[in-house]
Amino acid sequence: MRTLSLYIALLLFFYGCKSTTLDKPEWLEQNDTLFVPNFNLVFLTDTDWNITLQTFIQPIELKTRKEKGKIIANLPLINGLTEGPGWIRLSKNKTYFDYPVIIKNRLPLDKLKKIYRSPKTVNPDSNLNQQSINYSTDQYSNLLLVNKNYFFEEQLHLNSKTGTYYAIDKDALSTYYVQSGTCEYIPIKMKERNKDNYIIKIGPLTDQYQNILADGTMIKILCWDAKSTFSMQAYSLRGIANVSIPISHSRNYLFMAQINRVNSSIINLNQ
Amino acid sequence: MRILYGLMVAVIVLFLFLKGDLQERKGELPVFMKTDEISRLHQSKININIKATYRPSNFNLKKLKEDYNNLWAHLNHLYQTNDVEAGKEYYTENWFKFICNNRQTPKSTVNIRTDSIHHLNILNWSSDQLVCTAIDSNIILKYEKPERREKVTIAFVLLFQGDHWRLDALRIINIQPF
Repeated sequence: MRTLSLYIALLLFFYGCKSTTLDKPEWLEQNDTLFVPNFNLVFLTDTDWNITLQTFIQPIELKTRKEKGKIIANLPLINGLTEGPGWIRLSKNKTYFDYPVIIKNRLPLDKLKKIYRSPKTVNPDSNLNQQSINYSTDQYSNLLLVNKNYFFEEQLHLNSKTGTYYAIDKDALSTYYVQSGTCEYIPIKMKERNKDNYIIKIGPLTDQYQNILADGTMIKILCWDAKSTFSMQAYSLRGIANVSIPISHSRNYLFMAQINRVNSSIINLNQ
Repeated sequence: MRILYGLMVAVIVLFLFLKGDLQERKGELPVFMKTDEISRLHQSKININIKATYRPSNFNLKKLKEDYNNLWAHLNHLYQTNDVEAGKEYYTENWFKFICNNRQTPKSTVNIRTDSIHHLNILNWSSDQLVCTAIDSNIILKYEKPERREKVTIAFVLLFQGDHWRLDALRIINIQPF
């Protein structure tokens, strides 16, 4: 009798340890394409499954709730995903069932245009050409087809006018710049002669396209007579520099301005 | 008595000094001082074909291959764990924000994916070496549980930002069993 009891106990023990086979739950209104955001996903089952949406990029565990004879996964919180193949996986301990889907984001999607210009800074002395690489994405970083292509490249010839320009309107990261080139001509004239000084106006300083040279352009000033030569520096502001030279009645000064290799005309300060 | 008090104060001062000295500074190390274990263990074969108007130099290509290999190491890790932080050095801000929409506590799943061969067709390369668009055709991806292999073709954009090529946008063009 004791042996029989032991056998029965052992039998019950092994039966208790035997894993129950779980059946694949039926997905109500199953579809090959899963549009997100979506309504809830409903599976007919009594088991408390973990439900995961696996995209090409990441696994997303879905919140579930149980109702009589079914488990419901909440999808509406997901706004948009990497489009393409994925699957929904129901797992419980070591058992899992996969439901392959094609993930698509619901319309309407924003079309975000990306334009990269290079070089970002263009100097008209060398080249006004610029490369532009363009593509578009939705707000979930999925590349979009534009005229049957994902990418588009073009060579642009820019306007020579200096300035800061936007490749995409109001997008600071898309800005590019046209700088002024080197000085082409240095106009100078005696602006004023007061009791103590000559005031000489240098400018407006422009490049070959009549762009005003950048503020802070260094101008070398040479002032000389038969006996000696003096040199000094001036810096332009909005294309103009005013230079003040102390008056010396005993000397007949000549005056010239230089920017790189460009010289102004020579003026006599005493005339 | 005075000597005893003096000794006690000296012992307390010494204790506080040593405690302060031994205290470790906590904080995140700069990126360039960290060892990226996920990337270090990953090695896939990357073939490159250039169709761009501007051609990258050999130096540029070496860096691109290295970063693309590391990017895939992190994409596979992300695929398995949803650990968005680990690979942030290989994502642009835009892409990082996007994957953070579905950020959850990282969890190791059985979805293990490995990539082995890439055929990179560089379509556009910016003259300032900061933008690369490409199509990676016939990537061989191996999955575990259930075990299977796939050939995948993707289009993507990489931007060179802060020492790395970073993923900015992606499109899965084709997937077929292999």
